[in-house]
Amino acid sequence: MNTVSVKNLTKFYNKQKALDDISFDINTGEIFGIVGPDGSGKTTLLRILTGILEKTSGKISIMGLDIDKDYEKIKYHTGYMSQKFNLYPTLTVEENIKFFAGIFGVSQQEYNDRGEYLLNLTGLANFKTRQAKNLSGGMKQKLALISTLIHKPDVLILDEPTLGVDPVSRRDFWQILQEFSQKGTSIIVSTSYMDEAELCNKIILLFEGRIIIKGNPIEVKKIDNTVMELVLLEGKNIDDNIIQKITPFVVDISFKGEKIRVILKKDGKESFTKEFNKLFHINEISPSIEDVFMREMGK
Amino acid sequence: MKTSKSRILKIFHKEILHIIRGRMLPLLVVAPILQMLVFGDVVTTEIKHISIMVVDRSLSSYSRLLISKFSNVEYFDLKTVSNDRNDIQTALTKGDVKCVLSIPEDFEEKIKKGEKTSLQFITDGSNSNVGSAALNYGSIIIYNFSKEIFSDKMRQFGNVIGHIPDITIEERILFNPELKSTDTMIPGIIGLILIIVTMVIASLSLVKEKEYGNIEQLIVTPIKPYELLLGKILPYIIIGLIDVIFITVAGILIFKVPFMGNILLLLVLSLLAIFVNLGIGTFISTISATQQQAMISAMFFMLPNMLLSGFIFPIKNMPQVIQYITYIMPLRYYIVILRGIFLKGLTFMELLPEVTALFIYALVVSILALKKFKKTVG
Repeated sequence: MNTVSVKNLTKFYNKQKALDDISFDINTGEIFGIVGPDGSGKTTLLRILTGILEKTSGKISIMGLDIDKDYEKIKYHTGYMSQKFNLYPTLTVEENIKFFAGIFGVSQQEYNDRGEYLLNLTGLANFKTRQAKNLSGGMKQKLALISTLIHKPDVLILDEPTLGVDPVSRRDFWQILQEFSQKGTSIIVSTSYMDEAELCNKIILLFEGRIIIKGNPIEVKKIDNTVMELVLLEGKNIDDNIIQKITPFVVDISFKGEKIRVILKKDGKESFTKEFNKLFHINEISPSIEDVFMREMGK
Repeated sequence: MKTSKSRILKIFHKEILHIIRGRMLPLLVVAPILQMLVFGDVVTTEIKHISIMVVDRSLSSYSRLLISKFSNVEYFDLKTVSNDRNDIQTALTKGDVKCVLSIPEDFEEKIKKGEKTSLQFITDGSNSNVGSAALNYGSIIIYNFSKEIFSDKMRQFGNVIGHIPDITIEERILFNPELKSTDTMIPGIIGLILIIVTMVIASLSLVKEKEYGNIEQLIVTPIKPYELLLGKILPYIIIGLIDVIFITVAGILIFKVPFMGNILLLLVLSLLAIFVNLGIGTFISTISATQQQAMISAMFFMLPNMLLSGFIFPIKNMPQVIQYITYIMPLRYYIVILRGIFLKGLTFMELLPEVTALFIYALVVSILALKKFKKTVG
């Protein structure tokens, strides 16, 4: 069943086009990743889905309800966590959760069951009485997550939730997301981390307000461009001249420590190998989402 | 309806916690009382104990009699008596005294001869209030002195010309008989402090939600703008009323300010003033993005309210144009109500014009503020 359905969504800021003809569907329990560089329209898209911003045109329905007609009802089905920490710093962990439970009209019984479960799941149970301002970055994110989950939303909308969070907390955070997705919560998450994109069931790549790629991460990575990793052979030196020679063969070139990573133009594998095998040790590797993204942006 | 009430209570509870944790309570309750103590004592419009020097070159019984008149009133503090005119310049320049009375050599001689004589009264105009007060008090003392001499002389001829008619003014000031400025200041301070607590602090607390992004998190919840607003301002209404009671009690106990009216009427009408302030505060919060901006906007409202409401300067002394401007200052009406209830014991019907003005004011700003608030939140 489609929990979220977006059709031909467009958004203008004055005359500036921020989102251009966006369409996608999300199923029950799916993790839907919105990937893209800063300024590509990720936050705008999420803010429109939560109703904070108004769209210019297009149709959005969440849990079968039209956002234009039943926005107030939709609120009970969605949970939103913004990029910035939006909770009350002087309230404790428990008070913050209770506050949002109260606003959503969650009953005491429900709160007891779900609150405890969420606190234990996130490891915040021992910090119940700590004021939110005294939590670490990762714990703040988890508290924000609990506060948005307390009313049992069917659709969870997260705007770059792991921005600036340490790697361990990031992994914890994603484990929690996966647990909820298995229980049937649809999760929309924006991210600029490509490794997180690989954890989604479905992704869209946004660039300048348009969807440039859509699909699940495995499909998306099936591109007909070859990705090569080059290591300089002994005794050879790299100079600007060589880079200039490589450029006509590739759509993207990047440097990773001692290695050079290139995305070749279509069907350019043989000619490239012939040209450069005296200079580099050439190794074909499987493309990552980042490669796909770079290839698309290079077009 | 039940869920709406519980949402308002939830916001209210959160705000109270925030006020307590943010150590705002002392600021909101104790600070107003300290302010009252300072204002009540310092902001006095009476001028007393003006230092004076007398240059007595007459050195006669009449001159001594005149000097004694000056040293016996609380308006003047007699610092020095000299007989050298050159001392005048130095004493005034150094600021040792604020005014000088100079008595000429032939003072007694001329009085006895029945001729006209004049005294010199020199004041320091650098503080015009003190200068003019000194001149006023000085003239009165000298006038009375001259009248006394005149009556003495006339009495000697009483047998010849009969009794001398004498008209005097019997002064009686109602409601604040001693013209004590604290009596008028303390009620005014209630108005001022209510502005600080309910307009400034409440607008800051509303802007804070916006500045910290809390509003964005609340928009996605089922809460309605009016529920949020009500829950947020309720604590400040309560604190405002507590402050009114505290300052009234402290004013009566510490400054012996008379309280002639009805305390309940005072609270009800204060509630009206609180609504006006909160309306303006809410409005300020909708046009400000940060607390700093809100603070500046609030100051912009507060200062003219203080200066043009009759709190410090009487409205009747202002230029006509400014007098018209005072009509848009809500504090103007509230001060009349406060002083009326405190000093005159006025009742609701007697205060009706001010109450009506304040009521209309409250209605207009509340509607405006709620509309504007809905736009920024919803």
